[in-house]
Amino acid sequence: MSMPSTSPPPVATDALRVAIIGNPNTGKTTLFNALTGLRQRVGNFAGVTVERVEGSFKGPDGRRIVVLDLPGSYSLSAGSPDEQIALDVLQRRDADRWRPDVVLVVVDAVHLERNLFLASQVIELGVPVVIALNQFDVAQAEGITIDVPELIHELGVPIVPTVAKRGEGMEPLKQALLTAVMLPAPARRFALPEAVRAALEPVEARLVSDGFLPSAAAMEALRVLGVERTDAHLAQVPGLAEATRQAASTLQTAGFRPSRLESEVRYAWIADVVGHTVTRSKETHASSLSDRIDRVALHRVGGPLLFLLLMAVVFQSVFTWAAPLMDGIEALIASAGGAVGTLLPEGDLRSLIVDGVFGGVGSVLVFLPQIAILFTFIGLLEHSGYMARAAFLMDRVMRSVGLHGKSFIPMLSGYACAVPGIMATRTIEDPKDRLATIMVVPLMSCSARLPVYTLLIGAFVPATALLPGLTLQGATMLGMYLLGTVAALIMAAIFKRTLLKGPVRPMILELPPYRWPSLKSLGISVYQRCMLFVQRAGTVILSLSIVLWAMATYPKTSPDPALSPEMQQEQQLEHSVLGRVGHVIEPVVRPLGYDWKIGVSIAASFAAREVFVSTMGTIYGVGSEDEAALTERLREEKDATGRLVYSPLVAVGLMVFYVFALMCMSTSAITVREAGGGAIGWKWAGVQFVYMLALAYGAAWIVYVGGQALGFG
Amino acid sequence: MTVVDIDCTGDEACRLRALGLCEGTAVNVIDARDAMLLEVRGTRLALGAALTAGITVQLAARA
Repeated sequence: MSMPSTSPPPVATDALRVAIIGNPNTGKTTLFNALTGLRQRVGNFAGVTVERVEGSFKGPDGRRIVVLDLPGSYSLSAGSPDEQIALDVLQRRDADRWRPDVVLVVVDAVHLERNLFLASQVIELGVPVVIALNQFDVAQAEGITIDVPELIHELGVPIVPTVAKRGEGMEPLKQALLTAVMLPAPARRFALPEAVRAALEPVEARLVSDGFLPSAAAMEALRVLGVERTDAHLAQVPGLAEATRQAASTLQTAGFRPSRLESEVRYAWIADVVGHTVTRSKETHASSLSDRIDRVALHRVGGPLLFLLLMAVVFQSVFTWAAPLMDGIEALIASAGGAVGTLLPEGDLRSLIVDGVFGGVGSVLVFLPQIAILFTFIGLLEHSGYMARAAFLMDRVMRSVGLHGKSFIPMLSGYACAVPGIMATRTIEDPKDRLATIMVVPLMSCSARLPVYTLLIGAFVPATALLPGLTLQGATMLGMYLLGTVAALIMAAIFKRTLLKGPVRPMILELPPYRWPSLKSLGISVYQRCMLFVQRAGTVILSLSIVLWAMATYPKTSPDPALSPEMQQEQQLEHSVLGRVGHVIEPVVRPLGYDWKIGVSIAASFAAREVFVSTMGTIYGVGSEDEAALTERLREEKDATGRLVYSPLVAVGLMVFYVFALMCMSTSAITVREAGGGAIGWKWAGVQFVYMLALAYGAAWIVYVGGQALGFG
Repeated sequence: MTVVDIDCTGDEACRLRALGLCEGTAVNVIDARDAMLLEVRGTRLALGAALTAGITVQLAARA
């Protein structure tokens, strides 16, 4: 799906295709953004949850250049789904059949040695390669001098020094991409020991007969020696597994260690290359600034404190800074809906447009400020290098429930809103950890639950003082938040032991040096997140809003004109499909102590939980603006036998129900997308909805029945 | 100190080697708590205790 107004024009058939690859933290995405600007399309790689970003720009000769941003990878060893995708595209065997003409390897000039490992693997694939020697300025500042002509000579491919953050080196880079296709294909730059070469020959032959370029077969043969499992894409190559086993045992007898052979020969060659192309003028690393920051940021006591402080700031700003913006958006949409409404004749069409379309979509767009603010903070933390430290600090705690340190931020974001929280799970590499996190994020009490808690606590919980500054009302609110949090941790542990069973992967994290984030790149990523939300969630929500509106509107009744407008509204609602649903589900909610009216409110709020309050307002005919009147009405509401409908026990049970129930179609829509889209996405969104509903029902029942047994209510 | 042996699952050893931590690499331990902070080839890695337990190192002779 393309972004409105920024989608690139259709790609001409003669467009040059460039795949960008690089280690994480090399500025790869910044460079991608510097080349393409907002001409980007975000999607997923076919069949997997790995994000696929494609962009384009016009080359110096007017030719269109299409760029695919491959996931950050340390090697082509296919240890993660990300690396597998990168390998598939580079070997020209990905499911989308996207064939790169040139591969652009982004190499961090500061950490050349480590980065050349991936570069040396890519060079051997036999596809034209250009290397961007990025963060060249930082390397210079740190006293690292790189002899670029000599490095070009050693690697046999064009190399362009760049500073992507400031857009430096982009023109020569574009030129190099255009000319690279005309150069002879690159190949391995070092010779293997004769015994190794001979042992690997049969493996290479198998790969070549399966269609690999001879050069790529050489790289692949060396690589598969070091991986224990057979990669999916190699399982079909006839005789490969046997040939590999044979080669490994031959090498073992000859005194080699097959599993470490690739890293040994590559790093030996790299050490040689770096040895005569890189000189360090200063013995002291300029990374000492990072060291000094880390002395505080990773301090055993100070580190966690700083982290908590930062999180408090993030959380608080998502809460408070977003509020005026959200009010603004709400007002804007309401007045737009009103303005459109006056143009339409009174009747169903007007109601559909104003209440269904504007009301429904408005209830979603209102989350946009929270998303933008949260992703600005996450972007800042990520681009600056702090995020890796946060994951490091939280790793031990999260590990105890079977999750990863990186699951912490999405879960915390869930307090503000589950939607950005779920979107933030993208930083978690392991797909099972990611899914487990997505499944539990909505248990964190989000800001949309606040109106429900506020209404019920205000009406039924007395403001008895417990401690100085803490009333029973405040304690109840805190209890609701704690209940959700504890449930999220327990459910994560359950998911990781059942549906998403998998080993807890030990932490392997690179802590990159601290850097000033690139504002342009930050802006682009926040913009992308917002657009994704508006588009994907927006389409689903628009259709569901219309369905819900119709259910509350039809079939029509002719209400008694003698009644007040609110009573007429109540009558209409009772006769509508939604009202009938309320009556039908009454036996289901009866055990929880609810009547049909609460049933309707719950049914109506399946799309967005805060609708509960406005539906209650409609049902009790007081309007949702007047919360005091509604509170009063709830306290006095009696059933047919004259008993009070709302005992404090019912109210607490109802709140507990809302702590657990997933009543938010924005969340479901985003889960569909983030859990893989399509059938897989719907499956997980379904699992999430059902398990949370079961939890909600069970917990509310326990509160009601247990409370009665204990003599409350 | 220098890494002598990496004894963990193939996948993890593979990732460590790609990150530059292989047999024969010189490493500096910056911090050791539950997890360990290492300096490897100019980069900084945080490794979980489950991993570091499987890595054997040899102290470099003092110059």
